[in-house]
Amino acid sequence: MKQDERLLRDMAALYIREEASALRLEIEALSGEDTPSLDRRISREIIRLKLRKYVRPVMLAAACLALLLIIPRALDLSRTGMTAPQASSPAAGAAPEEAAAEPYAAIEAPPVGGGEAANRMGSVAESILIAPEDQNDTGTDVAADEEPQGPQENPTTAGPGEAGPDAGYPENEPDAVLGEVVEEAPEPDADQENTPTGGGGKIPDLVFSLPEGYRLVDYSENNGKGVYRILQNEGAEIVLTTEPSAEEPAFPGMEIMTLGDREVGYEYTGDHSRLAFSHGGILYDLTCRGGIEILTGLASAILAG
Amino acid sequence: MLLVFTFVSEGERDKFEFLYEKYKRLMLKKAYDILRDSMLAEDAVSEAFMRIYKNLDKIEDPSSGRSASFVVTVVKNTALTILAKSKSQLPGGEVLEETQEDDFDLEEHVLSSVSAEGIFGLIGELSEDLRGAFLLKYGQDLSHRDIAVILGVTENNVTVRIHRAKKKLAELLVKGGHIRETR
Repeated sequence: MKQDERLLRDMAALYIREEASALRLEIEALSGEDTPSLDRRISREIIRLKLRKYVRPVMLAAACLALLLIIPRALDLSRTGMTAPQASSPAAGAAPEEAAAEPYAAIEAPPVGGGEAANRMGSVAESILIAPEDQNDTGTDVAADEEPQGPQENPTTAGPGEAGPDAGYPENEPDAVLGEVVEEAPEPDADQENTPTGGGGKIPDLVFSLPEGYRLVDYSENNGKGVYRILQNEGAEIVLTTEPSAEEPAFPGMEIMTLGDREVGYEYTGDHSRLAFSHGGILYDLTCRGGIEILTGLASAILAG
Repeated sequence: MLLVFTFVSEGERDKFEFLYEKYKRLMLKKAYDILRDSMLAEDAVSEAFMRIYKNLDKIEDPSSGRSASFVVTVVKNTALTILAKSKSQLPGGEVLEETQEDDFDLEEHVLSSVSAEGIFGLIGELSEDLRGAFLLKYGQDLSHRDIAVILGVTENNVTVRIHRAKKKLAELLVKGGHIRETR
């Protein structure tokens, strides 16, 4: 393949050189007439691009600033409302502040001194302020691979970074290779829709994230191989077969193509497409009715894992 | 002509202005050759320059032949996209069908001798969309993702186009007798 790549680069470089010579002559032959309409248009488009590029961060900064100003005030108001019942007598015809504070008093634990209530509000404020950092830390911690914890803590991806095939999974058990089921863009009904009906009992989890527009609908086992049925939004059905394999795969009768920077076997039989490759000690075989582009999205997601 | 404050650096502005002044007429011509409509050609050139603007860092020397090829590739593909949309077709979404079984493997063969003009002709025989993806990858050393952004298609589509371009080139090389088998 390296020789192939070098050859193609040489060919492309030769072509560009020849093309550039021809283009130079074309440019010289073109008259130097003005293009005011295009000039104005380009200027407008660039300004719009720049505004879009800078307005977003400015608006984000303004929103953060507004939150920083609003939250303390909101907390102050709440604190005032919380301590009101202790400050004044709970007589009939109480002031409006007391009436507003009643629900809080009901929710609160047995009346305590103002100091403890203030401490509780302080810790709430602290947790709110810490929360964004916590989320960031959680993300990096998960990415840094707390293996047993990772998949549960990150609801959007159960990627191989968190629980890869080498993370203590016995290679001979297909079920053990798999992590948590991934829901790419969860919606209220998505969980029910995406729950595979299952032909083989418990549905094992995937070690890669399903790309947007793909959902797992069924699973079965066949001679030690896992067989997954995955549906694409446009209606295409993909059959993904997995099999643990320590050997380098051969792709007899298949063409070799490059997906990203990986070589995969590819076959098209007139109405079915097939991709096959090995990744992380597992042999993946994908087939579908239709063109290869239905498979490459899913294959890329697997290889990214 | 172009507003100074719209660019981050003077170097960026100079680079873009150079490209614009040098190639705008050529790009209008190339776009018009495809679209046969002045307004659409201007649309294509405008869109192409926005893509070039977003990828200025990919252009090292704006005066080089490589940059000339780059801008022409971008505008041609942009024009093709507009043409396809105007005909209610989506080039990014079409199913790329294999027209024939082919088990030829370029790895197994060695290039014997091909002149520069021969190679120019061979690559020139590729369709514009395949040639564009091929040149951006092997001539400009761009990743599939970058190419997808520049051409306005999906990364998967780029992968498929490059695969088909290589396959087509292999066929042409065999047909032209430029390839001999080593096995």
